[in-house]
Amino acid sequence: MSSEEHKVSKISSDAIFAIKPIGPLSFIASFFFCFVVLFLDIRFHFIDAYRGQAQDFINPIFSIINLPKVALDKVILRYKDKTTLIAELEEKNQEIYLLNITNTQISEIQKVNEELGLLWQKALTGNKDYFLAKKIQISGTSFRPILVIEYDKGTPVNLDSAVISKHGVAGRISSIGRINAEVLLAQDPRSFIPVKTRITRNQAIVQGGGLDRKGALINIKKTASFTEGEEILTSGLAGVFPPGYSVGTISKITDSPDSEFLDIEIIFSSTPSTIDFFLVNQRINKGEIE
Amino acid sequence: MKVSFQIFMTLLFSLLIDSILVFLGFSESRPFLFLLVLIYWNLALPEKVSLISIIIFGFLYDLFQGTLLGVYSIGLLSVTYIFQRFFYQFRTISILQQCILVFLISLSFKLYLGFDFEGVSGSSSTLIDSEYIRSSSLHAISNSLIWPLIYFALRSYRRSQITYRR
Repeated sequence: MSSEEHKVSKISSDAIFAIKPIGPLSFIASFFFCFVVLFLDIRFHFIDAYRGQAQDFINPIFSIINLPKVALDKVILRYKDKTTLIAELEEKNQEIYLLNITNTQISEIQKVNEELGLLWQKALTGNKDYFLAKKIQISGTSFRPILVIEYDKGTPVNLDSAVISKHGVAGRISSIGRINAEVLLAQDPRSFIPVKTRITRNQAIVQGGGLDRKGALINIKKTASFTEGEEILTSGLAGVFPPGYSVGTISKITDSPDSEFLDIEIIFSSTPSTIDFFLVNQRINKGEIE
Repeated sequence: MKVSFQIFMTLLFSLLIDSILVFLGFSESRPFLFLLVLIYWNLALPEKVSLISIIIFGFLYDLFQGTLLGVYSIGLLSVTYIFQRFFYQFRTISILQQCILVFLISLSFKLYLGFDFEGVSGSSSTLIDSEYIRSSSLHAISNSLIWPLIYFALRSYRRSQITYRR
C-alpha cells in the first residue's frame, strides 16, 4: 500500500486510517450558494417558469411505473367470464339511462335560461374556452401542495388560468410545461381568491391554510355580517377566476377580543386529492372582468 | 466502478422510490428514503459523499415537491454536516440509539420544511399547526422504524459491491 492512499505516522511510519470528512470550508461555500439561490427564488421566483417543464421530464417515469398496473388490468379484463361482463354491461346501460335523464333535464334548464337571458348562459355557450386536464399527482408538503395536471400537446395554456373541478374552484396554473402544468391549489397558503358570499353578497378574500386544512376569510372587520354555513363564491375580481364558482362554505366564525378582525374558517368545496379531471379556463385574463 | 458514482446511484434510486411513493398517493407520513440513504453513506463513507450531488438532489426535490429552490438543499446539507461532524460517535452507538437519532433528525427536517420562508402567514414565521406536528411525528417514526432495514441493506450492498480501501 503506498503512502498516497493513507496517512503515515511520521514517528512510527505506521499507517493512519483516520477518515478525513468533508472540510468546513466546502460546507460554508455550499451553504452560501444554497442561501443565495433561496434568496433569489424568494425575491424573483425565477424557478417558477421552469417547474412545469421539470414535470415534463419527471412524469414519463410515472407512466412507466403505472405500466404493470395497466397490464394487470388488461389481463384481468381478458379473462373475465361472460356473466360478469353481462352484469357490467347492464350496470353501464343503467348509468347511460340515468345520464340521458340528466341530459334531458339540463337541456330543459338551458332552454329556460336562454329565454330568461341569464348571465350564466354566456359561460355555457363559451365552453370552447375550457379544456379538460387530467390529474397526474399531488405532491409537495402540506403548506405547498402542488397539483400536476396533464393536457394535450399544443393546447394553449396561460399562466394564472383558473382550474375548476366538479365541486368548484381548485386553483390556478402557476407554471406551464409542454404537456404538464403545475396548479397552485386554493388550499395553498399562497393562494388568495376574491370571493363573495352567496346570500349576504359580502366581498372578501379567501386564503388557503394548507392541504386538507381549512382556509380563512382574511381582514374581515367585526362589523361585517357573515353567517355560518353560507356558501362562498368567486367574485371575479382581479380577473383570474370566473365569477360564480363555488369556493367553499363558512364553517366557523370566531370573534376573539384580542383581534381587530373576525376569524372566519372556510371548508373548501374542491378536494383535488379525490378528483381526477379538471377544467382549465382559458378565456379569463387579468383585467377582463371588473 | 467509482465509489462516489455508486453512492450517487443509490441516492438516485432512493429519490425515485420517494417519488413513486408520492405518485402512489402515500400520505405525508411516508418515510423519506433519500434522507436515510444519505445518513447511511455519511456514516459509512463520509469522505466519499459529494456535496455537489447533495445540492443537485436537493434542487431536484425542490422542483418535485414545489418548495422554494434551495430549501431541501440546505436541509440535506445540514444533515450531512451533522453526520460528517459526529460520524465517529454515531457509528459506535447501538442500532436502537441510531433509530432515536434518525427520529430526531427526521422530525427536525420536517419541522424545518414548515418554516414560512415567503411570509404568507403574516404574523407567524412558521406555518406549523398541530396536524402538521402529528404528521411530522408519524413521518419521523416511520423513518426510524425503517432505518434498520436501510442500514443493513446498504451495509450488505457496500460489503458485497463496493471495494474501497482508504
